[in-house]
Amino acid sequence: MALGRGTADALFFKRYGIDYLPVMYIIVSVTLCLSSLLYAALADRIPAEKFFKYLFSILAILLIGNWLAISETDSGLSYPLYFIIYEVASELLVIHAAHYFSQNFDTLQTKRLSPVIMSGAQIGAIFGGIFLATASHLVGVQNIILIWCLLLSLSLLIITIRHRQTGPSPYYRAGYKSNNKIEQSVSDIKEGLSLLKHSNLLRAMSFSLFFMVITFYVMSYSVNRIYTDTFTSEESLTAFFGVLSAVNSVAALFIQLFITNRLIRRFGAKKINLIFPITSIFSYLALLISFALPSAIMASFNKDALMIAVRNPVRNIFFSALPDNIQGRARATSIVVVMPIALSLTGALIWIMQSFENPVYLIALGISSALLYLYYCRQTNKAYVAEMVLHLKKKLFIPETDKRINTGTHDKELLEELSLSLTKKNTLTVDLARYITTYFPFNANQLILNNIDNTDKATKDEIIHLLGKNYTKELHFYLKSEINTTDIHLKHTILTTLFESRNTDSFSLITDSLNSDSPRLQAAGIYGCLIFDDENSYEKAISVWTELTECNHINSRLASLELIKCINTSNSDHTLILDNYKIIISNLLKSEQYRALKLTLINLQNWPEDKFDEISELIYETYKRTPPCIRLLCIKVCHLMSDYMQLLFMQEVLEDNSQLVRDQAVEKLITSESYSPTDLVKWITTYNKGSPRSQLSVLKVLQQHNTSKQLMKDIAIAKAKDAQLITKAIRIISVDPRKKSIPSLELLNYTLTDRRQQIIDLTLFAMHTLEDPNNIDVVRAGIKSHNPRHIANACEVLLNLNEREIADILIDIFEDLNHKKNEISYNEAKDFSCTLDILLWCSKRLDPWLQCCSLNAKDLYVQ
Amino acid sequence: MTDIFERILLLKRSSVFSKIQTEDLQIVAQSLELASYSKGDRIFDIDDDGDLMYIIQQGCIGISTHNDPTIREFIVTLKAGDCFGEMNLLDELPRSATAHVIEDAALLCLHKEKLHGLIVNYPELSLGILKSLSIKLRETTIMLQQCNSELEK
Repeated sequence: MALGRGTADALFFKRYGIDYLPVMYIIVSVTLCLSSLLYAALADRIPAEKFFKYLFSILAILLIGNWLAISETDSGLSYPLYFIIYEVASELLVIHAAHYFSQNFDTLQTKRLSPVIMSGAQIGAIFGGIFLATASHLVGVQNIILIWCLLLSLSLLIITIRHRQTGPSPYYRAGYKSNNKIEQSVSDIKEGLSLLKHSNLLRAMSFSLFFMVITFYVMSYSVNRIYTDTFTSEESLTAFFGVLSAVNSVAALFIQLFITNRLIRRFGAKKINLIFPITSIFSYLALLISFALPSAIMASFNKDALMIAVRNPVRNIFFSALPDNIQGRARATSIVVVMPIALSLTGALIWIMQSFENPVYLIALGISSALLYLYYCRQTNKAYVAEMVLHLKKKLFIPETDKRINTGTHDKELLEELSLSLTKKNTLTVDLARYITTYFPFNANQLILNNIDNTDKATKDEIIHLLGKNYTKELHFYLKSEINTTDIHLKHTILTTLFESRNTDSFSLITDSLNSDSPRLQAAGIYGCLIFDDENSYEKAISVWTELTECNHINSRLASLELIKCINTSNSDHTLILDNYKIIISNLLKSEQYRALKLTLINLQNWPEDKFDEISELIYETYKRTPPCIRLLCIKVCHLMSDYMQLLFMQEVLEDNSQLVRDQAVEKLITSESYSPTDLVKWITTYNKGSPRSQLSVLKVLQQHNTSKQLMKDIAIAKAKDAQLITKAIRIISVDPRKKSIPSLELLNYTLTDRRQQIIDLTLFAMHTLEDPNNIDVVRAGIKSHNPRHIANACEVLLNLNEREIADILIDIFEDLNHKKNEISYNEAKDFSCTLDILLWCSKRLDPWLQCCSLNAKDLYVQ
Repeated sequence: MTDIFERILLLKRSSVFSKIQTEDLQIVAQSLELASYSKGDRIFDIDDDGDLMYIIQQGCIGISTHNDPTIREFIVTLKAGDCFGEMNLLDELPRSATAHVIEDAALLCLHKEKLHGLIVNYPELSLGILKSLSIKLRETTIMLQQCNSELEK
């Protein structure tokens, strides 16, 4: 291809004239569009190696024909024809080479082999350049076409021999054979164009490609004009092109192998994406200052070395952010639509600029398009992460974040929809009612009461509780109408709600309630009496209350519990009652009945004193033997425990199996003011206390309490470094020869692996405050997906976030996971010299389970 | 190494429980009951109702699908760390095979109710079970292919 490039340019410029180059751009764009369409229509009908044979054969025939035309006839048309043949062939061969690789290697192989293949291509270009520089004087420029033909035949031979030995391409699958393949290709292109509407990234990439083409070809024309003017003979021009091609290829190869990946790794694809447009602007500025050979060489280096080494890899990274099924059509649209339009426009514009006979206009055109190119590269950068997040979300089934109900115009529709749901008898009624009372408090009571008859008594009970918080006239009338219900529990709720409303027409209900046989209604009567401060029934109320607390019957005791909130410790009448409660509660906490335990713990939250030492151990015991919902309530009353017991209790509950319980424990720590948010940050970072899951609960609560970004960043960095250290520990244990003979060491390694995953998750969770939470959620899900492609995309999102320090540590860990090595590096040996070091380190950590595993392993390891 | 640690490691190595974190495997390990069988015993017969799944701690178990449970023709032999009997805890159908003790065996048994509770609390467990079922399905397919090719010969 290097031979083709040098000879086509030199022959065309010298024998036909560079002034016609803009026209050639227009013709090439049309030819390229048609040939690409034809290629797309035929490529997947036959195996790629067979198609290669056709391509090489046709190209060889065209080249020989062209050589004959140049040698034997004086027709000037042979040169533009040769130029077009080269331009179209070079594009098609590159596209087909990629197609050939995809039919012979899987995705991972292609990814790994592509640097080798690209390097091979560059080395070929270097040799081609050297050959051109040395041989053009000896054999004549036009005869190099025959050498190019010979090399094409050699390539054909290699492919034929290879496939004779290995058979057809293993991943070749015949495409769908429709009657009209051209029509199908056109429809693919149309689909590609419609994708532009939906994908911001694709749109920005297409625009940047459009302006890149203009920038590139205007620069190409400018430098070729300088070269043609500088080198008088076609041999010297070809030789110069050869040297230039070789030097640029060496530079491109060097940059590609040693610099590009490091730059992308260090600065991210987004920043590297801006290099080529910026260097293009500088190249034009150099041409503006001096439209001569040095500036032209600099511009050539920019377009032939930097573009290949820097711009192309970044563009491929951006393409890989698109879903697989879009990529093919997107690339096809670029080649068949965007490039040809841009190239034709470039040709037309250069044709116009030529007439001014002043290169300044040409440079001005180049700078303008380079600036627009830079602008669209920035737009591409903006769309890049968003597009990756969007597709990862779809792939990983991550829902969009909940949309809060706004107070806008949709409210009415939503309310109608909720009302309609209320009319149906279903289990969601209480939740619906809760939703309506929260978001539509003004309409709630009327709406819910209209439909309350559809529900059962238990639901009615709950709904009345709910509506009582926003007491209205409608509710009052409803409660009055339902007061004679036979259901004691419902009647109790109705009475309590009426008393709480302090409406005077409920006053008369107190005496009836106190005289009732039901302990629940009696409790309601006592409550009413205390609320209304009714002197007439006060003595009766205190007497009934004392009876309830002294009665051995469970129902009386449970009914009396809700009156705990009414105890006034400064009232001497309440002293005996308080003492009775102490006995009742101590007994009820030993109960095996779920309902009794639940009611006791709920009402204990209203205990009138600061401490209730006698129940400390009972709460502890209850916590140990009960399900999570009761354990949650135990935490809510743990402030009543003695200080010492409370400390022990909190240490245990922070490691509870249930996440809800752990979260509640941390919430309790903060609200009880025993720990400030700063203490909790130190808990996680400096002391590194507890398991990662207890730390996650601490983090959640810290997040809810709007902990500062700096503190969250400190946590994220500390956790990322911890995960890095654990990664090193895992690697050292993995290569320890004694691992197989000491199963405890294997268990420790499993535990460390779990811990690493949890701590990485903690790090990302802490980053929620620092970055867009949606992006972090996607990264977390991607990393947990176990799918290499999703993990790679998640890492790419991570690298493009603001917190590079944290991202770099995490990426370092992920890279370590992907490249499992068998030797211990110097850095790893710096932290831990041997397995025993790790065992000691783990056993000193304040993580109970890790400590347990490491102590167990240490005992066996030192034996 | 104490018993609980051994059990956790055994569970972690098994295909069904490998996705669960060792910390959570403590609960699973505590839910297991130990059962010992001697060479020649049958753990369950084909068509039996079953509410236990087994993890082999020690020994060797042969699985036979022959209708006569006394016939010892094994389609697969299982060793320490392998699980069996999990299928009918999920489909609640009778046992599809007979489990014979080839070498004296110590088995850890997990009751259906406990397994269901664990699945609710640890969805990763379902992935592990799916994985082990998938492996079994593959093995069956390969076996069927071999049978077919032998028949064709």
